[in-house]
Amino acid sequence: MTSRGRVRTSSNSLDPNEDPVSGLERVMSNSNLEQMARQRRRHEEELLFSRQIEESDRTDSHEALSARYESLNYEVSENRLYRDAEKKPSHQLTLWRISRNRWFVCFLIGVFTGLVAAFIDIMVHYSKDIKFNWILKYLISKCGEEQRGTTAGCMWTVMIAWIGYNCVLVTIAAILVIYVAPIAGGSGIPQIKCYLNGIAIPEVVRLKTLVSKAIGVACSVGGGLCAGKEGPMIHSGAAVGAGVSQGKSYSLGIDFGVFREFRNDRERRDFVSAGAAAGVAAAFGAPIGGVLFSLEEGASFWNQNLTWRMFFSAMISSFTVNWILSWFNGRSGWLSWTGLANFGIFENKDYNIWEIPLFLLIGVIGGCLGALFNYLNTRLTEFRKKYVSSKFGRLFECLLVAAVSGFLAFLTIFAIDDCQPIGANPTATSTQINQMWCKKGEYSAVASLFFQNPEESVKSLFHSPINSFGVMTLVIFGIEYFLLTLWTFGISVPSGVFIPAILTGAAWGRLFGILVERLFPSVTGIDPGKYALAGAAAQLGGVVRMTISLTAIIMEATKDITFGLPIMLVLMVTKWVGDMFNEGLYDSHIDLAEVPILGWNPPKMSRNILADRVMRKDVVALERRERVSRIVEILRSTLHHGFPVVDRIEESPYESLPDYGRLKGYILRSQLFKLLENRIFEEEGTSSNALPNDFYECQDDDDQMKSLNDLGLTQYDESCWLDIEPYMHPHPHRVPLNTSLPFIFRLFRGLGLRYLFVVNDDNHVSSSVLVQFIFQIFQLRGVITRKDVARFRERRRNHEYHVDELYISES
Amino acid sequence: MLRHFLIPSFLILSSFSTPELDSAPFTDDPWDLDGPCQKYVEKFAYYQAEMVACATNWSIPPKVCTNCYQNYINFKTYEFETKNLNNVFSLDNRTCSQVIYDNYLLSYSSDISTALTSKIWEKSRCDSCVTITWSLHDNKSAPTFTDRTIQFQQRLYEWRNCVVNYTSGDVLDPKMVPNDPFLTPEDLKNSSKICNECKSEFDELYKFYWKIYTTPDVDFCVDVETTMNDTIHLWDDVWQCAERQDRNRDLFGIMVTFATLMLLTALFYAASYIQGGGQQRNLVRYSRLSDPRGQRSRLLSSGISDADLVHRFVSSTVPPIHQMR
Repeated sequence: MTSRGRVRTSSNSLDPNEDPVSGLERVMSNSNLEQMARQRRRHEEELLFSRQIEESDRTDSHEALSARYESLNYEVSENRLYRDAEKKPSHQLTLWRISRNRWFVCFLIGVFTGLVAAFIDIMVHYSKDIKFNWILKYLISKCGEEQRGTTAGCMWTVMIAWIGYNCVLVTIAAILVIYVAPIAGGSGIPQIKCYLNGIAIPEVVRLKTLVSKAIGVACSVGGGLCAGKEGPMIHSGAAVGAGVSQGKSYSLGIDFGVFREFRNDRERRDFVSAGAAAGVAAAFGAPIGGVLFSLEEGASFWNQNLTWRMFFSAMISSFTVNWILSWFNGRSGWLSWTGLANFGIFENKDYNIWEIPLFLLIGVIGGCLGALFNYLNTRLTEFRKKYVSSKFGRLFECLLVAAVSGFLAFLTIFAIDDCQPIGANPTATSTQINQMWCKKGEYSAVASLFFQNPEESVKSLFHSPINSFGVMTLVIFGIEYFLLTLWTFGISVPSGVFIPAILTGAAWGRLFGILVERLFPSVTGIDPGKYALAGAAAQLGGVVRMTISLTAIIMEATKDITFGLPIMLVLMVTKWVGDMFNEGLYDSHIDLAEVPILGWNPPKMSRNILADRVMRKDVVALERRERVSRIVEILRSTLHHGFPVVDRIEESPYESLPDYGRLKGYILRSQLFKLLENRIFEEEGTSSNALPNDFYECQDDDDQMKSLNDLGLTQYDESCWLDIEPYMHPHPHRVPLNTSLPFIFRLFRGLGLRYLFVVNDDNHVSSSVLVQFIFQIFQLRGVITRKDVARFRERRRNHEYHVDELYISES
Repeated sequence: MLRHFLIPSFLILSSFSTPELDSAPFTDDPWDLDGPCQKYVEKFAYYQAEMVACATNWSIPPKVCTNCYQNYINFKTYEFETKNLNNVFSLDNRTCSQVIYDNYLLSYSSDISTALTSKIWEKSRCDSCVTITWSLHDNKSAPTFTDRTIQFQQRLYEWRNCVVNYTSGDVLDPKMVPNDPFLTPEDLKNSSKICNECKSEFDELYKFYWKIYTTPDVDFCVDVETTMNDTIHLWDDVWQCAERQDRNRDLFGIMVTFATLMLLTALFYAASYIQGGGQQRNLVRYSRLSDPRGQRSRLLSSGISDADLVHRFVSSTVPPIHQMR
C-alpha cells in the first residue's frame, strides 16, 4: 500500500471542528469528483484484466487449491447475547447438563458406531455365504457331475456367475456413491483428516453419507473388490459422531430437539474425533489404536479430557461389536470376540536378535513398494480426475474393476497348479476347501486364498503352516493384489486401503519368510507367519505412512505386544524410506482434492513473507449500522462466510480499494441471515423480535444458506437499517501488517482460526494531529483466510527448499 | 471295523467287576490321612489306564472315537463317581471328592482326566461321530453312532467289497495302511482293473464325504477323516486311479473372457482419454490479483452512497425510508 508511513487526510469524513454545512458540501463535492475518477479507473482496469485473463488462465497446473472449501467455525462469537447468557439463573444448570451430556453422547457414539460396524460385518458375512457357499459351490458341484463323460468344460459358468455377482454388488455401491452421496467414495480417511484439520468438507458427516458408506462398503467388499472396510468404518464412525451429537438429521429433516448445546463446529469437532476413534476401535478391535489414530491423523486440537472421552467411546464401540458378533456367532455374552479385522493370535511368538536386520530389510522393501504404490495411484487419480469425470464413465469403471477382479481371481486359480492334499493345512476351514481342477482329495491352495473375505485371507497368510502356500502362489497373489488395489483405490465406491495393503504385504512377507527359511535351513523355528506380519506392517506403513497408531493397531489386532519392537522398527524404517520419495497416500489424495489443509509445520523458507503479502486487501466490510439492502446485496453476491465490521468505509482518493476505518468486530454470514430472518431492524428504534438462544453460535448450515428470496424481504424491509454492533464478535483475532507467515500459520493451526484480520501498525504520527493518529492505528487493512495461508507450499527442488504459491481454482 | 467296535467294549464290560479291583487298595500307608480314599483312586487309575491304552493303540492313524468310546464312557462314569464321593471320608474328616480334586500342588489324576477329555476326545471331534447319551448316575450311558458316520461306513464297505472282489483275498487288511510292505506287485498290477471296476463306488463314497466335509458346521470326527485320507491316498497315489481334471477344456471360455475384458478396459480408457480433459478451470493466483472490478468493487465500497449520506445527516429531522424509494 502506498499510503504507508504517510499521514492521510480523510477527505471524506467530517472534521468535528468544522462547520457541519460547509463540511458536508466539501465531502459531497469531493466524493462526486472521486467517484467519476474511480469509475474511469475501474473501466480501464476491466479492459486490462480481460486481456490478462486470456493469457494467464491457460496454465494447466494440477497444483491448486479449490475455492469451494471453507473453514469450520471454532470461535464463539462473544457478543452481548453471549455475555448475557451467563447472567441467567439457569446457566449453572446448563453448564452441568453440558458436561453430563458430553459423556452421554460419547456413550451413544460408541454404541452406534459399534452397531454400524456389526451391520457391515454381518452383511459381508452373508454376502460371502451366498456367493461362495451357495452359488459357486453349487455350480462347482454341478460341474463335477456334468463333467463325467463330456468334453466341454463348464467351469466358465462358475466364472461368469462370479463376475456377475461381483458386478451386481459393485453397481449398488457405485450408484450409492455417484448418485446419492459422492463424498462417500473412497476410504474417507482423507476427508476426516481434513474435517478435523478445520475444513468444512460439504456433506462429509451427513446421515445420507453414512448410509451410503455403510451399505456401499458392504457391497464393495462383498463384491470382491480389493477393498477394506476399515477406512470407511472410520468415516462412518466420524459421521455417527457428528450425527448423534447434533440430535437432528438434515438428510431426513428430523430434529429430535436434544443436544442443542452441541450444535456448533467446536463441539462437533470433538465428537467427530471421538467417532473416528470409535470407528478404528470397531474395525480392528483396537481402542487404544483408535485414540492414537485420531491423535496422529486428525486432531489438530487436543486436550486431556477429550482424550479420555474418546477412549471411552472407543471402548464402548469395540465392546458393542464384540457383543453383537458374539451373539451372531452363537456365543452370546462372550466378550472376547475380537473386532472386524482380528488378525488372529500367534501361537509361535519366538524371534531372535539376529532376525532384527531381516525385519529392517522388510521395512526398506515396504517403504519402496509403498512409495511406488503412492506414485502410481496418484498418477492414476490425476488421470481419473481429468478424463473419467462423467457419471456414466465412473459407473462403468467400477463395473470394469469388479469384473476384472473376479476374473483375475478365477484366472489365478486356473493358472496356478498349487494343489495341496486335504489335511495339509489344519487351520483351513471347510469353506476354503475347493477342489476346482485338482485331483480328488486335494484342494486348490490358491482358491482357498480367493474363496474368502480378504480379512480371512490375511489370517491364513499369518497363521498357516509353512507348507500351505507355494512360492508361485504367493508371488502371483502378491503382484495381483498390488495391482488390483492400485486400480481399485480411487474408483467411486467406498473402499479402504488397509486390508488390501496388509494382504499384499502379508503375501510378500510370507514369501520373504519362506526364502529366509531356505537360506538358513539349519535354523529351526522360522515361522513365515511373523514375516508375513512384518511385511503387512511394512506395506501398509509404506502406503499410509502412519506410525504410532499403526503400531498400536497391529499389536492390538494380534493381541500381543511381543512383536511390538519389530513392528515399530519396520514402520520406522518404512516411513523413512518412503518419505524420501513422496508423501503418504492420504496426503496425496488431499492435495489432489485441492483441499487447503494446514500441515503440522509452516512451510520452510517463509520467514520473509509478511502479512501484507499473505492477506487479501479487497475486503467486503460492513459498518456498524448498515442498510438492509446492502446486506442483502452482499449476501446475494458473495460467498464469504463472515464480514469484518469497521467504524467507517471511505472511498480512497488514491486507489480503487476503499480506506477502512478501525476494526470493530466481526459478524458471520449465518448471523446476518438470522438477523434478517427475524427482522431485527431498527425501525422504531427497538428490536421487538426475539433471537434464538444459541444465536452466538450460529452455524453455516446449508439450510440456512437457502436462497434469500425465501425470507420474503419486502422493499420496505430493505430500506430499513440494521444495527450490527450488539450481535458482532467484538474482538476478533488480528495481527499487524509485518507479521511473518510462520507466525500466522501457527496461529491458524493452533487456534483453528477461520479469519485473521490484518491491521495497520503505522503509528509514527506527529502528535499534533491526534485525531488522525487514533484513526490510523488498528485500521483494517486486509483479511487472511485459510486459503491465503495454505496457498504457500514448500517444495524441494535440487536439494533446496522453496516456497511456491499455489493457484486457487474458482469454479 | 464293527469287530473293532465290539470286541474291546465287550472286554471292558466284562472287566467292570474285575477281581483285582475288589482287593484295592494295593498301597496301604498307615501314615496316610487319606487312606480311606486310596481304593477309589486306584479304581479310577484303572479306568484311566484303560482309556490311555486304547487311545495309544489307536493312535496311528488316530481313531479313538470309534474304537474307545466304551473306555471313555467307563472313564467318565467313574470320574463322575469320584467327584461325588460325599459319603466317604478321610481320616481328617474331608470327603474323598475333596481329597482327590482339591489337591495341593499337583493332581495327577485330574490332569490326566483333563487330558483325556479335552486333548483326546474333544480334539478328535468325537461328538461328530459318536453321540453319547449320558446317564452317569445309574451307569447306563448309551453310545449311538451318528447317521452320517454309519452312512460313511456303509459306502466305505461297499467300495472295499468291490476292491476285495478284484484282488486276492488278503488284500483288504494290509491295504488299510498304505505303503504297507505286504502290498505285492500283483496287487499293483491289479490296480488299473480296480480303478475301472470300483470307480463308481469310490465316487459315491467321495461325493458323500466331500459334501459333508465342505459344509460348514457339519463335521466328521478325526477317525473318519483319517480313514478317508488313507483311502484317498491309497486310491490316488498307490493305485494311481486319480484322474486330474482337464484344464484345457475351460481354456477357451477363459481366453474369450480375458480378451473381452482387456478390450473393454482398453477401449474405455482410450475413449475417456480422447473425449475428456476439456474442462477449463478458472485458476487464480492471489498474489497477482488485480484490484476488484464491477460488482465486487461496488460491494467493497461503503454502503453510504451519496443519497444515503444525505439521509444519514438529515435523518434526525426527516422521517426516514419512505421518501427514499
